[in-house]
Amino acid sequence: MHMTDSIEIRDLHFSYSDGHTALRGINLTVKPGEKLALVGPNGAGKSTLLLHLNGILQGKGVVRISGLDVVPANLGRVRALVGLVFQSPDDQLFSPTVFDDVAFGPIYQGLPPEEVRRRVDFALAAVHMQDYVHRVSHHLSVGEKKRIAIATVLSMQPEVLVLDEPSAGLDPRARRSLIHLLAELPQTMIVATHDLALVRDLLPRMVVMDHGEVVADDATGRILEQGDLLAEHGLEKP
Amino acid sequence: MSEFEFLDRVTIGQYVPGVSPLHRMDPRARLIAALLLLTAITFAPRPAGLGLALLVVMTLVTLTDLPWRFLLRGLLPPLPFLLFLAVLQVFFNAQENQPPLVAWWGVVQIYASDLIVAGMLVLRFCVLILGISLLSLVTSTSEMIYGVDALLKPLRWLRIPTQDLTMMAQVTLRFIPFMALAAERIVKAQASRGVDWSAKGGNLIKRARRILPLLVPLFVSSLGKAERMALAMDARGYGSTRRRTMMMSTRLMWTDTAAVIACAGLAAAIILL
Repeated sequence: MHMTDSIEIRDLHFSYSDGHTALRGINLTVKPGEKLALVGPNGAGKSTLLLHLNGILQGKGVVRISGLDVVPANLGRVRALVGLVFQSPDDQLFSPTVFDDVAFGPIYQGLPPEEVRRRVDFALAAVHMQDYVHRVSHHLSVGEKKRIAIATVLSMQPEVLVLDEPSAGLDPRARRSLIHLLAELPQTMIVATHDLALVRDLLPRMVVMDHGEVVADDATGRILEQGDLLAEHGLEKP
Repeated sequence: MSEFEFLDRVTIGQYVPGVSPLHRMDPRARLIAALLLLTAITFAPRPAGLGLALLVVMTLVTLTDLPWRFLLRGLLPPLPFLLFLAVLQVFFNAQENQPPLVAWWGVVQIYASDLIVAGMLVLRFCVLILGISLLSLVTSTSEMIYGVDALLKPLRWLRIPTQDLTMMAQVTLRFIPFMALAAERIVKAQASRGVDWSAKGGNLIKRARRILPLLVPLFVSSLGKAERMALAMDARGYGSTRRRTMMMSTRLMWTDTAAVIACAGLAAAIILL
């Protein structure tokens, strides 16, 4: 039986209002449960591509999430399907307490209060932060905030998790524990990062972007062996 | 306290958890009662009414077991302005002068009525600040949001987006500690490049000049932060449905109703006395 792809992108183009072209004909298909790394130098278009996945940016071309077109009429459903975790957890956490932050998505989906509480418990358990439910979000450490930021999207029970630079700013122990956590999660995962050691340990497939184009798409092991390709696009073998 | 620690000076929006009758009161009733009393204090025309208001607020503080030092600290920053206003009031009181004449230097004449008006101004502001601090100290942000949202509900009939207004109030509260932290960061960055932040004094223009290099980057970083926060809210589906779940549901008890009626009575007495 044919399974619907988690993410399907066909010939996606996007230019910012200042005329800068960020994406030039992106094609990408991601199967359910697949974990994929998006790497490339700064300004390659990685973050721009991520913002297309839940319709915050909308370019020319086709973006489908679990068979659902990312068009204005579907935005509510698409945003429930795609959990976007920002690079800085301070941008993601804006409520008075951890509970309020994790409950934000379900509350604005209009779920009943018991279901919202169940979702919050589930999401905090998934990131091993159950004891933090009544803490004040902005008093936590960066590593703790990162976990809570991931919980804020897990509570919406997304099918696709999109993470922008998840390991940036973490100390080695927090980074290691984040990798373990991400490996445990069953969702389809797309991770934009410069941390190639994280890619090697966690993400079996690797997509290299540069100048708004996909320049390589292969198994992580095979791409990491190609020193010339990595060097050409500003990357270093871990 | 270091000259760089701004967050400690921010007392607005602080909440002290507790089990006092005020803490247990329904948030809606608490807000209505506070509105009634604060309005009465604002418009109380005579000293006796303000005296009663002070008594009421002091009784409420005693009921909560909150440390007085906490509340009195909130009075200190505005006190110099209040005293300045009071002195102006003594000399420029627009109301009719009533004897006895207390002091005079040539054309300047100070009557007892001038002193009473000035005293009332200081007392009115002190009682207002105490009252507002008390409300904020016994009301958590989620209770405040629940209360405001419930009280604004009738406006939905006029198609006013009350939930957005409530969200704006919540984000505003959240921005207070953020701005304090951002100011701290900017001041440290400037101090590390030689700006002398410990310098005190100077006239008003000099002081304003010292603040300006802080305000511009503070605005820029706040606007950037606001934009990213909006993105984060969008990404989690804010506004994609009109049905928002209310996590808090409370029932008005007879004690809440009785407290509101009592506060309405007190408010009337404060105005009429």
